[in-house]
Amino acid sequence: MKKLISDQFRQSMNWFHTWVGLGLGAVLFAVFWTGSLTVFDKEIDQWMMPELRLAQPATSTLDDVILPRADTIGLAPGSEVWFSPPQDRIPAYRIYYEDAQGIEHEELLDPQTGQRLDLTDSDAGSGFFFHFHYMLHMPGVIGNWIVGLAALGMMLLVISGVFIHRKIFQDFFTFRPDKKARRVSLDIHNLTALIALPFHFLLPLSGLFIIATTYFPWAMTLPYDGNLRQLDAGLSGYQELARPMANQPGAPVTELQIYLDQAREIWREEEGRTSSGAEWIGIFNYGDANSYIMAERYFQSSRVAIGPDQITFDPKSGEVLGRYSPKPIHKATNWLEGLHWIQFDHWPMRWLYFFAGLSGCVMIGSGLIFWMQARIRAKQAEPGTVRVVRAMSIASITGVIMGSGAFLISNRLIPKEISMDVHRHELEIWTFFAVWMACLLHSLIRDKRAWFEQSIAIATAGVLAVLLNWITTGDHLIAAISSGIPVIALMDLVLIGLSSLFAIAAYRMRPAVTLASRSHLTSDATRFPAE
Amino acid sequence: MTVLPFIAFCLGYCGCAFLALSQPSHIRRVSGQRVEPANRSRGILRPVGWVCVLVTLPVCIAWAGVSFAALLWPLIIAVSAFLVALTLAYLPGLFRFLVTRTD
Repeated sequence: MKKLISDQFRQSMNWFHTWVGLGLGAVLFAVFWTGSLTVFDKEIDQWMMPELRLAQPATSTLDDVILPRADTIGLAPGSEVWFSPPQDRIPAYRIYYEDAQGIEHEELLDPQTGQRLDLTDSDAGSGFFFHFHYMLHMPGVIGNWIVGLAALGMMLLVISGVFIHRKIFQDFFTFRPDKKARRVSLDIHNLTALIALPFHFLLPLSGLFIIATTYFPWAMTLPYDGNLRQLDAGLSGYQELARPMANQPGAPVTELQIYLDQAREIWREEEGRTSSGAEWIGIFNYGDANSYIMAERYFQSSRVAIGPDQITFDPKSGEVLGRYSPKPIHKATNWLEGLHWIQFDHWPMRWLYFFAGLSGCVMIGSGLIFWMQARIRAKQAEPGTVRVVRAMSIASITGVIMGSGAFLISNRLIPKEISMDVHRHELEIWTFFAVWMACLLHSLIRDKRAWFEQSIAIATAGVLAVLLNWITTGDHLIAAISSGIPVIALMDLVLIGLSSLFAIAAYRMRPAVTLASRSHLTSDATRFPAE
Repeated sequence: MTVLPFIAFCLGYCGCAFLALSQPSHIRRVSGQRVEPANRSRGILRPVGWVCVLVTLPVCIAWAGVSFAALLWPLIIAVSAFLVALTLAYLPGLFRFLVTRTD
């Protein structure tokens, strides 16, 4: 029988997989790791900004406390201002506006009193991990380009990986911790890659869809005279409501809640009972006689596909002025983008994403480790090269995890009111990068032993973060559960879980035993075999 | 309704376990025998395994609707396959009743 895949083809795929994997491994690991953390970004926010740990439901309403706040913040006449009621994962009111200088502001307001929450200055999950996930904390679009190329590489790695394998079906369940270390890391690589194969392909693809317009905006906007807004309108069929300012002061808007209720009612009638309401309600042409109100829902919590769905109202008559929802042709891309955003209300799915993301981390990590083991065994690489690659791998695997741990710890250690020339949230980010670089330096100096030492450091850091959370906020496990903030308890439990995994990994890599005799190795998420 | 996620995970796990145990290398691991085991149940395990894996999809649809099920199904099978791999590695005895030993 003629072979479908020639050996030569397989070899070239192997060559591609090996070198592209090695080249992109570090970036991919960082993106997968921060992506997995971003699954719980709002929960990390609550952990790092304890003022957000609000257990009681809102007693104040949009109309009595939150809406009057718009008058006190100095809005320019004719500007727009947006309000968001508390949600499942964000337990505070939000107000968003641009001031007279055009600077954007977002404030979080106490759901009881409507007062501005005096938040700890931290970028936390939705400010740091989330942005790092697709921008690598780099200026402009450089990070976007690197992450985009890595995403493209990831898809090619998945495809080439499938072609290299002869026994895909069998490898699906194969994990033999009693074999040689090299074999074990290959088993882990195959297993974690194969079980979540659709995930490892779909996530880079959908990520590329989301940031696609950043890459060649000039090419896409060419038919629209370089106007990105018009391009967007052309693609989505979006029409901005033509309601210019009357340039006369109008009656102030005194109620918003009825429009939120009305919007929810309209969507419920069309989509059924599980349909969710608007996240944001905005006033356009603020203070003007021609002001109007828009209820906007970007993420419908009971479906995967993203919006936006908008309904505009006339505050004078209460009538619906206009509506927008994505056209049916957008269903596929909106579903694809929605599955990457995971803003829907589905906790089991959130956990599955988290585990699938971690399986991606393990896949990349074990792939890098296998590269070294294979090179050392075949004596193909110079010892110096292996040492550099090893240091890079250690820094990009345990280093970035250690950096994240240090990020959490610094958040709890730096006093809330710190008087320095830099912003407090920048200090946290500096800590993240400083510790990451220290891990690189450490792995260059300590070579192979850095696996063990950094695993110990991570295990310690996780427990330390939990203890510091207890000391600085008093919200230990039981207190958090009994006072109605279980997300904090869950966050602590995840930290303890990851710490335990690294403690087990460190125990198995302990240096007292000669490395050659160590064949009992890693099994799951975050254990790394000694080479 | 709350029982559906549990059913989905159970079906996924059983399906993956049956599929794994329809393969000689995993049968050897479970039975602990070096020689090729004459496993009479092998012929039936593969189709039953596939049915379980496929039936997980409609269960997911009933649980969360089509657009969520398209994500839940592969992810649940992923977790199931991972757990089956761990079971085969650390607790192979759990599956022993599924393979017929030749002694």
